[in-house]
Amino acid sequence: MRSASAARAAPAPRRSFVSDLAQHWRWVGLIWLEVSVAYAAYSLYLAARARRAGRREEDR
Amino acid sequence: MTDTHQAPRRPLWWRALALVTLVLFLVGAYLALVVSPPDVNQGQLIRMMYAHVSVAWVCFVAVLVTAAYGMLFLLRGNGIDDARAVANAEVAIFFAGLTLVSGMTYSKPTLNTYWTWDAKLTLTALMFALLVGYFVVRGLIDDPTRRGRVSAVVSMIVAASLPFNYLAAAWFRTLHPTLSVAVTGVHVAPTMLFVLVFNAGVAALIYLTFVSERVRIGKLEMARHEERERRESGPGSKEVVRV
Amino acid sequence: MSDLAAVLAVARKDLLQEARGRAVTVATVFFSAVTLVMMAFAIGQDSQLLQRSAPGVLWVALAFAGVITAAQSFQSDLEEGAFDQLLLYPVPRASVFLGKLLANWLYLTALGLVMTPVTLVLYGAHAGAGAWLLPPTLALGSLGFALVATFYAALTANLRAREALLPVLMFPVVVPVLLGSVRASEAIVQLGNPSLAGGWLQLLSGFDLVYLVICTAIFHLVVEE
Repeated sequence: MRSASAARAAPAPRRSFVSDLAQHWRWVGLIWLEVSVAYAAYSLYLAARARRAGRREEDR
Repeated sequence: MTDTHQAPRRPLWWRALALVTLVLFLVGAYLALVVSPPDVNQGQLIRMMYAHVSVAWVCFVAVLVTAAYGMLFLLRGNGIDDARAVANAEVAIFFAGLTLVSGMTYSKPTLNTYWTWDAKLTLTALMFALLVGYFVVRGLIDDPTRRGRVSAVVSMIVAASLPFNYLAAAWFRTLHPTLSVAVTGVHVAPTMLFVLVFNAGVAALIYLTFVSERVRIGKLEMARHEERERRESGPGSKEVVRV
Repeated sequence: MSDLAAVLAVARKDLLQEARGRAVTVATVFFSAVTLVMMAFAIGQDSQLLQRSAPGVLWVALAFAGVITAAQSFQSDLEEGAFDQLLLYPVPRASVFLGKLLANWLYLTALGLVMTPVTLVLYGAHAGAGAWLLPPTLALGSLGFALVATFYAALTANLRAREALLPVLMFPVVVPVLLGSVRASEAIVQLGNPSLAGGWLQLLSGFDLVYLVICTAIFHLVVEE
């Protein structure tokens, strides 16, 4: 039974770090990719909306 | 790439903030992916926790700020308060959606299921639905004053619903005891705590960066709307500005 | 006219209107009954499962009935121009809200009292010793639904797509009411342990009280022009 409250550090020599990460890289990578893509997408949306708002009417 | 017609520029302080935020985001990612030790129980998967937990709190702060600016709008009648309210609502719904998606991503490898009716995630899902309602209502009202007023009312109900929905979600979970995505901070190793707090701070900076830019855009749109109203006293452009 | 008298007058007008027209009664009774029957078919023949589902199905049916009731309570007024007239009277807006709330609440509670035995029979459940707690539970739960539904019905009364919008706005807010009502009913009917219902009834009461205050206080903002 996994206790969610006990997130303690395990001693981690570099070797098992690599093999562990290799197993779970999909999920770890996925979540960080999600977060990065979300921020990038929202930034692009803001940029596009700013461009549209800043343009004067004659431009459209 | 740059606007050619006297478009108000983004202020220098904001550009600096955005740059610093970007750099710190990369630092935070490095801390989470490399510096943080693996967890006793979750192993390398703990690196996902930083991505999820660090953003999970932002949407709630943003919703409360939305309601606060809504109330200010009711008190002062200043359209800028409504612009600030909707900016915070937009960033809130963004972070709520991100929390839900990252929560499901975190949940699958650690708890072997995409959804566990975890109290905080259920609350986030309900709040997401409430914010959708907020924007739908805004989209249906053309008059800016009435729109601001009704939005303020809706945002106050949304804020009021949070404690009740949390209680309901928490008690609902006692009927379905399953593992929780949440990581309580009590026994976290010092390094992990630092990485978590650092990333949570980065999330705060991202929130501020997004919201201040969104407010600036809202003010621009308001100004453009007012300019058009002045120029066209008769029937003219049918476009309504959505702030 | 005193505020309380105004509240009662508005409630009386709505209830009389309903008694004469019965459009809402037909719609809600029919809709609730159909929901009960269809859910019974959907759940299937497992009698234990049916029995356990009874409180949940009942309250979902009542929640939807609440949407219909509240929407109608402003709709007919709007169509006849009576709502604007009502707003012209020198009574506080809050009294109009409370009057409509009172009418909707009484109606929903009555609907619940009728639907409960029907549900118990259809789903093979029995009320048992704690049955006296069912009417107060119905009253508290109905108040919660009626509060939010009436408030949002007024807010959406002038908007397009209001029929679709009302449940969308309302349901995330009334989740605690649904949860509390179902769990309390469950404790009373099935588990035969009415004391378990206490906590849920407290949640319901707290919700009702808080939203009663909030909605009454800000209602005037919703109907301002």
